[in-house]
Amino acid sequence: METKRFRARVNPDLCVGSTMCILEMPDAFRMRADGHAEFVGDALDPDTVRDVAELCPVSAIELINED
Amino acid sequence: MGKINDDLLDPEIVQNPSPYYKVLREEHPCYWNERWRGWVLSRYEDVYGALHSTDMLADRITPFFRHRLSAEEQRRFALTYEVLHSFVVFLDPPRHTHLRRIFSRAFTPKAVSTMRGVVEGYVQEFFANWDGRDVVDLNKDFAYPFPANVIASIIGAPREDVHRFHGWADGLTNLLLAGVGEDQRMDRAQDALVEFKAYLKGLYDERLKQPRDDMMSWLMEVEQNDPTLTEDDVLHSCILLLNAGHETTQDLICNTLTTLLELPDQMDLLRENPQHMKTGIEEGLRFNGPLKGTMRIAGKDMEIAGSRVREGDRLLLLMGAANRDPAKFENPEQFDVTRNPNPHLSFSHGLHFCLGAPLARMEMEIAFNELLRRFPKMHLLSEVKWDPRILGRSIEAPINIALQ
Repeated sequence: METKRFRARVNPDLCVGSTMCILEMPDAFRMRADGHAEFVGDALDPDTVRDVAELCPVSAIELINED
Repeated sequence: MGKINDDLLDPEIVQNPSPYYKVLREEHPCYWNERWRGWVLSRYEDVYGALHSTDMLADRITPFFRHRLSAEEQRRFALTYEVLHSFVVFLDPPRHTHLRRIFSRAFTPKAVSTMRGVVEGYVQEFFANWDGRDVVDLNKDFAYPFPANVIASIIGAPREDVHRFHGWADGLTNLLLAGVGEDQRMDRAQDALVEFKAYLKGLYDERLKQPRDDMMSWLMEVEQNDPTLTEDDVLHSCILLLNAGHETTQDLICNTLTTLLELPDQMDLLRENPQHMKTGIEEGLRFNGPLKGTMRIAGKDMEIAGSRVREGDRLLLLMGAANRDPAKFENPEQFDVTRNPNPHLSFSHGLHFCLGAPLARMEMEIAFNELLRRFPKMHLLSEVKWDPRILGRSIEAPINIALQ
């Protein structure tokens, strides 16, 4: 069975730059110069994206289905 | 450009800081306050930048103890230093990163949502006690005991002990939020910490024998599996959580409700359109958040808004002034429960974004929905008088409200 792949999107209107996502997945997220995080990684399995999204204190990370 | 008032506790500024903030933003965006002995930042852009800068250090405890206390005082207040210096809010990476990763798991929006039933239960209970009464003291009859009971339940402190940590928290808050007229602040804070820690040690020992389903037991489990964590880390973290978990929410409840009571149009709008509750609470945070400012220490020489800041200088970041900056907010002096987006800085920003923000937001939403539904006729009986604090924005008790 093929697993669906997801990307993450950080909503800049919500992001407070807590860096929790970067601490959790330093290869997938990075901090922009404006103090907001952004997703720069490859597509991930949904559980991984959900886990990191749940750590965000302001729920700024959204899941985007690659398919 | 005129001379700026150095007295951050000037009664006029305390009562209504907005005109002062306007002058600061427009004429002195980064100025050296000789009385406070530090730089004061007031523009949104500068406060935001400082909160996000890795060159701004959160550990203001060590410089205070090393440079402002005598050797004798440093010895006398060693316990205060030890406790405060272990608080995650006063730490910088890498220790901050380590502790934050632990605590953040307990306060994610999802984790906090599991506490909704506890919060709803307390709200119902406290407001049931208001039924039939003509007048209540908002502070004593709800704003203090409600979040204090919630955080005590989460940590695992027995309900009958909640009144005890009110006094301890007061001792600590008067030191941390820079009260006035308190010559013995250090003594009071240390006495409070000694008692607070001894009390929590009792809870800790009980859980060594029999772990429970509460946050202290969970932290103890983390401690057992993490060689960098000690018993003191657990106890000090519980002091911080018990303190921070209710003091700021208490002020947020009082500040937001009194603002709404002074603005009946906004109160009616919110009561008739509860779908605006989330944005209304964010506006309460922006307009009169529980913290006017926070402190940082410059980690290196830098220039801010044309001023040369030296390594080791302390800075007061005025979130209250940033939250009223017209460069960021349209009509910033207008309280608008529908304001959206509302990128206020009241929970801080960056690495030190308030861990308890999801809990505070949920407590506010549940409490205010019920408050507005249940007591449609409530009104203020006295003028709001603000406490003289440099960092905190808190209303003097009592806050008498008529319910009929």
